[in-house]
Amino acid sequence: MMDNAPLLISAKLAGVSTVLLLMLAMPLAASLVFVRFPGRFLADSLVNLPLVLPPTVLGFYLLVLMGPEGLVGRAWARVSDGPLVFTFVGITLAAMIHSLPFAVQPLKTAFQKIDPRLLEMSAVLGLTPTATFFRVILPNSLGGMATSAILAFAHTMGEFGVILMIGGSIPGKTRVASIAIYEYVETMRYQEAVSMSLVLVGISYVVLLTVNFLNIRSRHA
Amino acid sequence: MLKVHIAKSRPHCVINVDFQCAGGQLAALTGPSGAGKTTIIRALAGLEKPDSGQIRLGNVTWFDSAEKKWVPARKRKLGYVFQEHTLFPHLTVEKNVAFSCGDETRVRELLEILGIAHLARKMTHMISGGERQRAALAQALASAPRVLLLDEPFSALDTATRARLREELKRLKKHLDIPIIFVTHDLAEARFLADSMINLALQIPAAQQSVQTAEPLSAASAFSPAHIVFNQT
Repeated sequence: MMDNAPLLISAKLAGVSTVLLLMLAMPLAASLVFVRFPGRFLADSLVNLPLVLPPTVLGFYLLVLMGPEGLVGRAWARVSDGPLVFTFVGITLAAMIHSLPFAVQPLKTAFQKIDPRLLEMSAVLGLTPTATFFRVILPNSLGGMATSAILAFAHTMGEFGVILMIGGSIPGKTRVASIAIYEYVETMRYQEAVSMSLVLVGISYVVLLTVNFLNIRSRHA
Repeated sequence: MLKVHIAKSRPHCVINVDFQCAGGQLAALTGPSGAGKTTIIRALAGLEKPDSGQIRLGNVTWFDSAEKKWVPARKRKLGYVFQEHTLFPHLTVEKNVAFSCGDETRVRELLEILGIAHLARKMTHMISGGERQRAALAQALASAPRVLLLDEPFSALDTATRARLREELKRLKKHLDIPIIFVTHDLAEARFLADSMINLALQIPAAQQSVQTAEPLSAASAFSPAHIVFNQT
């Protein structure tokens, strides 16, 4: 009988990290598109680095940073009196970093499509850059925001390597669906592996359909 | 009084203008494509910095190269109507007009004056080009601007709509006690609307021709292609 807990942890992880990621990705994408600053090209490439890095490599470096002796791990220990690795917070942070390009790229594309004259008009009408971001840029990027959220959610749902490195496989805590599938196969519990995989395939297909629908709609807008 | 004396070098031409425009007056900026009409109006709006000179409105300096002073667009309190696409597509006509104006009465008044009150709840893609430009004009006027900048606002419209809006602008001008700068390719339109004209000739960088100034229009229109600043009432 398939245990639903890993699916629920995956969904919770994907939901929490997607919300936080959007809050981080929106100003980041806006800076990369609208602000000219030295090293913008380098920053852009850094945001995209998780796309090309093997998850185990990214996971390893995150483990070094977030471990008890790492910079982030020690800072976390001071405020929470506990470790960051092998916790839900730890895998959320790791998932956010790994999914960052999936959240930033659709937003960047949406921001780049905005007619610059609208931004100029907003400035002429007296709005600050921050007010322009909320009153002009975001309302005209709803499709990009939806795509960004969906891709980040889907990518985190299927997350494996980075989560395994940071969170291990603690049942009910850090054991997500993809790790559970791996363990089902390892222990030759193929029926459970097939059932859980089918759920992930279904989620992925619905995500792709939604993204395609949004893209078609934005092309016809 | 808006006083403008600016210069800017661009790859294909040099812009050098010196003119002024009083409240309630309309100055037309005309000239061939590439002469720098839009660059000048963008400099007035605070969207593009000239290389040198000054821009002053009354006692307030918006730009002074000697003092390294530059007031950004959002602090100039301007009305600016672009050639097209100036309305926010995610808002209704009414919300566009009210974008920078919290005064609902003023918004309703402007919608009435410009004859678009019946379109208030429509999204901007549902209205015609002429209606969009009226809405853009209402949007520009809603925040009680200190200067009104119109960058070929009627050029994308059909002849009949264009003529109608031209009449409306002339009527509106009498009630606005602010300087209006109007960019147009159409000399007849400029003559019809303007109190003074600045006709820009193409100046290639090497030529470094004379400064172009605004002159009041007089009845005896002296117009020559070589020196395009002309007079007419």
